Parts: sequence; C-alpha cells; structure tokens
Amino acid sequence: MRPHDNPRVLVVDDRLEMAETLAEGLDERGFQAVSISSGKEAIRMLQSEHFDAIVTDLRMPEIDGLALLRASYGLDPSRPVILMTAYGSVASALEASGLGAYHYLMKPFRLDALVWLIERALAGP
Amino acid sequence: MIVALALVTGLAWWDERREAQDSLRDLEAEQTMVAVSLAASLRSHLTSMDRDAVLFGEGALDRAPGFESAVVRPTTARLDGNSDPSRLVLTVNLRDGFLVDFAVHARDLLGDLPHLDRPGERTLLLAAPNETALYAMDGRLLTSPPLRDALDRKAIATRLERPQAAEIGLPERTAIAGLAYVDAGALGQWGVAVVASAARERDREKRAQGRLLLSVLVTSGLVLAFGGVALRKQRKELRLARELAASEVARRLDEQLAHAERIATTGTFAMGIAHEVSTPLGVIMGRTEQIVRLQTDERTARHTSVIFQQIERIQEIIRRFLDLARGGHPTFARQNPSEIARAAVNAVSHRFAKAAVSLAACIPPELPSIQCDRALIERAIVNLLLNACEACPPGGHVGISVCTDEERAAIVVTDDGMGISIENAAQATQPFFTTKPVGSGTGLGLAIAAEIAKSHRGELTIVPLGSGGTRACIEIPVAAQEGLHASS
Repeated sequence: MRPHDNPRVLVVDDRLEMAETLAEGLDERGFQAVSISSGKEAIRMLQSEHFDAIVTDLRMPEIDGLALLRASYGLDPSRPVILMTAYGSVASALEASGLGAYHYLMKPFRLDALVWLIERALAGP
Repeated sequence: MIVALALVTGLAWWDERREAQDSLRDLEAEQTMVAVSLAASLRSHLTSMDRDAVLFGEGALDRAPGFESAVVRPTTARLDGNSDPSRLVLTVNLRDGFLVDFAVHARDLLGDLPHLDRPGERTLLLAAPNETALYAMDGRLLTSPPLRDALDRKAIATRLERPQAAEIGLPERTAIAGLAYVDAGALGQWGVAVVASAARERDREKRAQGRLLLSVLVTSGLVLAFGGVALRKQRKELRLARELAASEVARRLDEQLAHAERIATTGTFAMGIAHEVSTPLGVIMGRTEQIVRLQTDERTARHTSVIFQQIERIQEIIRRFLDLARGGHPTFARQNPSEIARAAVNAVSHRFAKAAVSLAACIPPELPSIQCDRALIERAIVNLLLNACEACPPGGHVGISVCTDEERAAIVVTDDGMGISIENAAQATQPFFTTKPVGSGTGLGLAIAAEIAKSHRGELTIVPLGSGGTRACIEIPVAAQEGLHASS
C-alpha cells in the first residue's frame, strides 16, 4: 500500500521523449507524473509545486542531475531522488548516492523496476 | 695485433740471423778449402826449391829459377842478414859443412795461385817456420795475434773481429780465416792462412734485414690499414645497429603512445555513445512495456519479446565495448568460427538487401574451434561486412570467407566497391577515419574491429584489391588465448 494516493513524481530528462515515456508509464501505474526536459525548469517547479519524488537523468546540460539533487535536498531533505544514468556514468551515480540520492538506475531499465524503487522510497526506511 | 706483429717480426729476424750464420759457415768452409789448395801448392814449391838449392849449392853456380838471391856459406859463418824483409830467407844444408841460403818472395811459393789474393776482399798469408809475422802476397809483413794463435793451435779456421780484420788490410768487418799446414821436412813447419772479409755477407745480411724491415713495415701498414678500415666499418655497423635499435624503441614507444591515445579516444567516444544510445533504448523499452500492458494478445507478446531480446543484445554490446575501450579484457571461450561468421552474416543480411548489394559467404560448416570472445568477434565481422556494404554501389558484391590452420583463424571480407588507396588503407583502422561522405560513416567500425582483433592478439589488415575493391582480413591466433581469461 502506498503512503500517499497518487503520489506526484517529477521526471526530468533532457531527452523529453524519455521523460514522457516514463511519465506516461508511471501515470498508468497510479502516479501523477510530470515530465520536463530542463534541470533549471525542474528547480523552478520544485520551488512552486509539491512533488513526492524526483526521477532525473544524471547527465544534462546546464543543471545536471547532481545539481538538481542538491537543490531538492535544500528544499526538502526527505524527498527521495532517483537518478538515471547511462552505463558509462556509474562512478558519478555512486557519487550521487553519497550526496543523498535514494538510488540510481542504469539505462535502459524496466519501468517496473522504477515503480518498485519509487514505492519503496515513499514507504520510508 | 701489436704482439702478433712483434712475434712475426722476431721469428723472421731470428730466421734471418740463422741464415747469416749459415752463410758465415759456408764462407769459412770455402776459405779452408782454398787454404788446403794453397798448402798443397806450397808443399810442392818448397820441395822443388829444396832440390834446386841442393843442386845449386853443390856445383851449379847459376841461380835457380825463382830465387831472388842465394848465398853459399860455411855452416859456421853468420848470415849477412836479410836486406829485404818482404822476402823469406830459406836455408838448406849441403855436404861438407856448407849451407845455402836463398831468399824468395812469399807469392812465389804459391805458384799460380796468388791471384786468389784480392785486395779488400781476401788476403793470403804464409806463416814461415819460427816466425811470428805473417807474409802477405804483396810483400807486407803482418802481425795478427789471433791468427798466430790459431796457427799455433793447428786450427783449421778462425774468425777475426772487426779491428783484427782491419789490422791485416781488410775492411773493418768480421773476417773468416781458413787455415792449412805443410810439413816441409828440413824447411820446417809452414802454415797458410786465407782470410776473407765477411763484408759482402754482412752487407747481404743488412740488405736482407732491410727487406725484412720493409716487408714488416709494409705488412704492418697493410694490416693496420685493413684493420683500421675493418674497425671503422665495424664501428659504423655498431653505430647503425644502435641507431636502429634506438629508432625501433622510439617506434614502439610511439606505437604504444598512439595505441594508448586511441584507447583513450575510443573510450571517451564509447562512453558518449553509450550515454546517447542508452536513452533511446530506455524510450524503446518503456514504450514496449506500455504496449505489453495494453495489448495482451499472443502475437503482440511475441513481437515485444523479440524487441526486449534485441534491447538486451544492444546493452550487452555496449557493455562489452565499454569494457574493451577502458582496456578491459574480452571473455574467452572455445567457439566455432563458422557459427560466429554465420551469425554476423544473418545480422547484416537485411542491410545488404536494402542496399541491393549481394553477400556471398564461403563458410565451411565445421572448422576447428578457436579461443575468442564470441560477441566481440561477431561485432568485428559485422563491422567489416557493413563497411564493405557501404563501400559498394547498388549491384555491388561482397564476399566473406573463413578458414583456419593450426596457428591462425582468418576471416576475410572482400568487396568490389569504391576501393581504397594504400595511404588510406594504412589509416583505415584509426578511430574517426572515414572516406565516406560526411554523415555517412562514424569512422569507428574498422577501428573497433581492429581493437577487437588486437584484444585477441590478432590483427586487422586492410589492403586495396587490384580489381578496385578492398580486402579486409582479421587474423587471430587459434590458441594464443589459452590460459588468458578463458571461461570454462
């Protein structure tokens, strides 16, 4: 059982088609997902809207996943952030874990795996 | 070399000295023979003079031939004296208490032989009884203690040192004396000395030594010259060998640096590619999952299953390539090269069909297995085939053949496409090198194939074909990977 009904999830990827694919998949699984392709825009949205979790790509122009992670932590330290990374960026992903990321997923991944991670993150420790 | 030259010179010098000694002995024997001849002549003359003196003294007042003067005196009367010291005075006993004295030149005692006396070269000397001085043929009365001593000892030969030779009128050189003796009865014991200067032999010896010295100098010069030339040549060759070795080391270092640079470049590019490919793959995977949720019929499930398989396959290739680009090692296992080549052909057959390029495969059904990473070798073959396909216009031909022997497995891909220059062929395996139009090729296909071949301790060679096409060949050792990361 989820702690919140229809949790709000912000999906950030500079490849909008990726963000939209994940957001649509999450919507169909009972989440309220918002897709966005800019880290800068994501920070703005975090300041004005509530999101229960963030799923973000690690490597993005201008504001990357780590900067977004830090910004989210500054606004709400309890909000789980899940990072997505390509195979070649595992080291950065591990660094992100040290900075407070809940987990990381290596692209490509099954949507079910993402859903399972978000649910577990929202269920708390 | 100097020791060898000294040894040779010493031996030659010793041999020359020995020859000189032999020459002196020959000269000694010759003088002795002359002395013996003269002694025979002397004996004959003394005998005849003794007879003539008796005849003269006993009645004939006429002078006997060859006598310078003759005086008959009582045995008690004193001899008046020899007014001419160059003459010998001989005394012969007569009957009735008389004596006859007669004077004679030394040369007249030797008959026809005094011509053997040659001034400055050979001196004939007579030793009269009871006289220390020696009579020369030219009338001189000479004193030579060493000769006198040898005559007293009845020696048959002796040698005179330089000053002793000069004392008897010979050149100041070693002289050789041959000695002979005559017992003339009442006329006493006589001696004959034939003294020859060894100046000629000495000169000959000096000339021989000069020749020897010259030959040694010439030989030494030649040896030194040839030795010097050989030494210079050897030093030059050594220097050349050192330079070659140094250039070889530099070349290997350059190759290693270039390889490391390529690895770094390929690694950077590979990570970029991995990142760029991963996101579209994620999209494909996510959308396929959506389809699976929306369409639950069997046909859709079969299609989506194939999509998932291919996604996993791409993931595997990316992972392997990234491992390779980072310097990771392939995972070796015993594989059938025919199967790998056929899998590669199947993987690209649709690309050939689309490009209207024919692909002829000559792959024996069974070949000896080889140790390799199947996925990587298949990827390398796919790259060669795609590269060949892209080089051909529609209607072009590409061929692939696989063969193995005891040492190596060879996968050869040929095409009759645009061809390649020798210069470009040498660079074809460099990352990002391409002769295709901008946007048509990444310049990585052959580079990756070459790296895969290298990771198997093999090589990829690209050569232009005389007919205008290109031949690409991957050769890898059959068993070189034994014991290296081989998986069971």
